[in-house]
Amino acid sequence: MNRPLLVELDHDTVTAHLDHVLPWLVTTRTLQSAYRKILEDTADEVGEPHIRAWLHEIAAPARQHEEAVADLYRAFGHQPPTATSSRVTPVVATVLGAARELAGEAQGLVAGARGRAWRHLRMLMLSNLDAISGFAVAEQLALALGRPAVVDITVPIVADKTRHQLLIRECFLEMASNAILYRRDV
Amino acid sequence: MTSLVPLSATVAEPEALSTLPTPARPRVDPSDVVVPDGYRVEVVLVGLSMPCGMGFAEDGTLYVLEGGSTWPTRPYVPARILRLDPDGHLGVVAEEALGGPRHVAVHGDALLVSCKGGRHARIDHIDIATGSSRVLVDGLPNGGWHEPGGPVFGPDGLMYFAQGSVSQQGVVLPQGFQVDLARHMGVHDVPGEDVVLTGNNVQTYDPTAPYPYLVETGPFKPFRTPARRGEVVRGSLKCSSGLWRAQPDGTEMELVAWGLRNPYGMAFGEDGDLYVTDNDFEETGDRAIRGDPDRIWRIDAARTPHGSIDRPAWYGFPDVCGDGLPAWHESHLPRRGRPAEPLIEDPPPWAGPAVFLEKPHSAMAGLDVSRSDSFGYRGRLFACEWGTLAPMNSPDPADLEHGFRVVAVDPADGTSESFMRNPRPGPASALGTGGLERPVDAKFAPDGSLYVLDFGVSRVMETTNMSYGHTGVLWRVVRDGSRP
Repeated sequence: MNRPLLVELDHDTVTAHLDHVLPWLVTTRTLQSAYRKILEDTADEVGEPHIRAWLHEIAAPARQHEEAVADLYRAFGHQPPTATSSRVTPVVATVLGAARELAGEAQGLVAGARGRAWRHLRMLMLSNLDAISGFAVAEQLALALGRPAVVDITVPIVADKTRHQLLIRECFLEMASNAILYRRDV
Repeated sequence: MTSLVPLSATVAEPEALSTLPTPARPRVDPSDVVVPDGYRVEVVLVGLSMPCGMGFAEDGTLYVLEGGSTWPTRPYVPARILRLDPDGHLGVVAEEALGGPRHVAVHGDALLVSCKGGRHARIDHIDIATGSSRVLVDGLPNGGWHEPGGPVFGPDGLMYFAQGSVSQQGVVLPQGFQVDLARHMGVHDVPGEDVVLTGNNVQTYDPTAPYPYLVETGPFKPFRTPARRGEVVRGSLKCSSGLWRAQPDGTEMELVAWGLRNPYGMAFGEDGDLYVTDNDFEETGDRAIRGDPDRIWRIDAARTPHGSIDRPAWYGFPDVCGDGLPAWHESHLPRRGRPAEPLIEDPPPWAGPAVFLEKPHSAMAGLDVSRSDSFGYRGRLFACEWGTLAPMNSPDPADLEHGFRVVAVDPADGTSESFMRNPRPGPASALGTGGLERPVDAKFAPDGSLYVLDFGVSRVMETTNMSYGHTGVLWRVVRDGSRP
């Protein structure tokens, strides 16, 4: 008999595939950090007590999800970035978050929404959607590469964040008439 | 023969099979696979991604299909047609689009490849010499749950092929909606002859709406479209759940049968009969059906002369189970989910019974026939059992263990023997062994040995099913004393 053949399981191919994952993990961390920052800022800005409380409730899991990206690195067989090497990511996330807040400000003003907090709710909704995609794509990469430990991390996170997305969308839509017709903030 | 696109394929050192870089399937060990005394198991390929089918050329060249989007639909890993030459060289012949290749027949100088496609399944003709591809048959309603069968060639020289149902349970429903509703809005089943509807509809919720609300859907209708009592739905040559024959160039297409839910495996026996595997209804959701057996049909109409079929044979979908009982029979009332109601008024005569009934949710898949005395079991059908999707599709704990093996079926008397299996029921990844995961196709090589294609790891939980790339394996079973 011929000896078995390994298909795309040699060291070089596997290493290359895993290396291709790394930039996406950086992206996932950046998207989640930007979302968490906008969430914390918005939760502090919102005056409506119920919405304010709900946003603060989801801020804690947002931080946990951000920290879980380090577990994703390990589950892919990579060392998570150290504090020194990862210094760039928080900076990029801060810049991305600030840029999104600014963009939201400008678009919201043009749209006739006077309330800053409501405009930030809109950016929060888009930002979480982006961050969900970060984890969901990491999950697809793990499935393709046969790494269930990654999937065990991403599935509950994507589920949590999808529920949070529903909450954010409901708050955003609920207060839309208040923001645009009555020119008031949340 | 066309030159191959290179593929990273390396000869495995002996220890490599026990330290694979895929944690989902960290080792592959033929000694963990049980076969009858006098047979032994070898490993041929490791690391395939969602392999679905294969076919031999007369010289022993093997074509292996990696399915692209499979079960579930993501992740997509390139839908490739691989060629394994008798000297052990492996490469890529061609690549298909999203819902990729499922089965291949080597016919003359061409590969005839069935592809699941997007909203329609098709059969492609790929010239072996040039690698050029053209579509032979297209427009078989799909965009949903079930799969193409064939092509295979009959003793009459005609090409036989099939396509399973669009809906899972007879009506397009939201369970696992990423498969149909999210990707293929508006798809539905199409009958193989005119049918009159009872007007029974299924009430469910619409997961694609911003606020899921109750909707009513009828059979042979897009989601959210109810049926009316007495309404006539016209049959079509290109129906869903159909089985056809045609000239090898795709012309003179004739509908032989319909009502086949998921006719994945097709093979002609030495007796000239056409045998087809088919999968059972699921015990879940808004039209739940309990205890429907998997089965192998003999398609008697395939013995008739080409062009002579006035009325195609009907094998029961969407109203009759594999045992011939209606889906609403007391024995099929579900333990969870809503029971089924009749969908077709005055249904066609049933073409059963099946030549073999298997335990529910075994997920019978690819099929071949032993044609050699050197291998033994001559005339038996070797059917792969991909394995259960319980607990997702059945609440019965017994269903958790069904499948994950290859059975040898005697079509003459409906008896079977578990030919290739793990020492205990279940996939290797659940047992912690290096044995079988999910056998998806079986083919006898020209040298008489049996090749078994193993889809790889597909984990099932209450609410999710996830499959892992690079975990597929090609096994070979040889009889002791036969040529190495």
